[in-house]
Amino acid sequence: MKVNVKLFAILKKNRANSSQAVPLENGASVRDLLECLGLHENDVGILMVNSRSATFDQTLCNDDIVTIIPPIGGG
Amino acid sequence: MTLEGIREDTGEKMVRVASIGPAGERMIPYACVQNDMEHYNGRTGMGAVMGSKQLKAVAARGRKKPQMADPEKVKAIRKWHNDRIKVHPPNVGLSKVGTPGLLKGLNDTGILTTHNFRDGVFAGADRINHEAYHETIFDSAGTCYACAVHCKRRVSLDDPRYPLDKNHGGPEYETLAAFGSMCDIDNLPAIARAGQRCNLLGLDTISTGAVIAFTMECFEKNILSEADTGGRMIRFGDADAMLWLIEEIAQQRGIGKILSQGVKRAAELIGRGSERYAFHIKGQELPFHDGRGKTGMGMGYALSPTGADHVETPHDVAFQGEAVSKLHPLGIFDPIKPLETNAQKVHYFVEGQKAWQLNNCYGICNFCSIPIGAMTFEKLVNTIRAITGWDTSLHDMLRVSERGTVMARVFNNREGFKPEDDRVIRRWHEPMPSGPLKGQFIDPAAFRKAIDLYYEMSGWDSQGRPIRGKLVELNLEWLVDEGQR
Repeated sequence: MKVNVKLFAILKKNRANSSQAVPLENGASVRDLLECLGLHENDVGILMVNSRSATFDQTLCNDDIVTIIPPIGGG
Repeated sequence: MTLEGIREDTGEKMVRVASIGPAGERMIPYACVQNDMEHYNGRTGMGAVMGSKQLKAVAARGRKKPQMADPEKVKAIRKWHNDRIKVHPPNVGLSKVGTPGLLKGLNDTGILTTHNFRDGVFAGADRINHEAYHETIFDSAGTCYACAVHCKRRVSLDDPRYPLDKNHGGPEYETLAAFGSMCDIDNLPAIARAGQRCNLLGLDTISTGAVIAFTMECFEKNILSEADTGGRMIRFGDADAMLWLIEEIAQQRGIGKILSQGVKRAAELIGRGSERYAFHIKGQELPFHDGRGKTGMGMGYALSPTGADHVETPHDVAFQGEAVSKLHPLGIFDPIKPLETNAQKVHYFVEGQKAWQLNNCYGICNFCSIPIGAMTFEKLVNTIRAITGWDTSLHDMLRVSERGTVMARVFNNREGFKPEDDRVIRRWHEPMPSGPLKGQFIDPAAFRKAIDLYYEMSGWDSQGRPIRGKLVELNLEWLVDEGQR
């Protein structure tokens, strides 16, 4: 299967595309996807699958859209 | 000018002055208090309170050093703190570029309030972010007294349309969003000029920007027209219309008289459905952070006793991954998920609110203190001990903090606020139209449940009234009669 990944802000750095299709084995979780992308859980501020908040353990399905936004402070 | 006048009259160069401008004299509900030249108590209309007492300014001159119980210990902690500020990432960022640095991050992550809170990304963000700031208007870094962070910015510009004086303050993040993204304006000199005019007139830039964005949306929706402004169109993106409105508001001329009352009262006066675009919580205009991307901060907007407030609790996004270790002393061990509105979030909010209320109680800036700035809970407790000589503890200090929140709550209940006033704005319950968080919204039922759970965790009843036992626990028994009204 494949999922569509959207990366934002600093996570886009040194990547050709901020949006990419990533092939994964069936039944893969978000954690597996992060490993594929070379990202650490600490790099993730907001994680969404198909526009809804998600967990690292969540199992992904074909054509899911995964949005990953880094932590940014405010004030 | 008030400051120069007082310095001349008293012959004291070092006199410190808190004063109000024309807005405070006219008791505009979002008039601010100016401290010396570049520092402001912007929010909640304290300038109007001074104006109502016909108090133009308070001047003070100190000559003695404050006494401390253990000066050597205070000195040692201060050295540790100043050294840590130089390497602690949030402080390094603030020292380097100040709060304008936040704008880029918020836009990149889809929560830069734009077009009167409709959108989370602004097309003109690159033209008003800290990089553009440094290229076009930056003069020098400034600071509050004796602070190692020095996050303030001074700006100057020799432009006849938008002249900027280095003595009148450079725009912070909130001012950039107020007159920039909220109004769809990407003209940085005009935004900075708007900030300086508000400073001189004594207007809070957050509320003023929100009022202008509201007016622009009323024009966009054909609720207001040139007939209401003596022939002037007020369109999103029109920087000169924005600058014109600031003067009209401060002088309470024409439409400015209505707008000077803030969005809630202005919408009541305008009618015609304008209240749909008048975004406020408990009557106060919102600062510029979108709760759809950080619901804990959204709870702070809803529950702050002084109305919408972005400094009621540390923002959720600061505690991802290992950064959650900063919250361990509060009993919080799991990273905070910004988009969730669940029991874990409420628990975080209860403790986070106490932490920042603590900074308020001791008069310490959130940028230097716990839990985001370069301070630790342990060192903060030791600081208070060394300064006061009291045998205090974190437990004790958090009770002081909670007592403040509860007293304000009892006051609000007595003055007629109801649980339904603990809310966020309509737009945050609607899907984000674009950007990284496209489709994201705060579920109204889940949010209400979170507020109710907060009452329960805080020892408040279903009407948001602190129960008798809570008041007794906090040594506030004398408030029992007030609290149950």
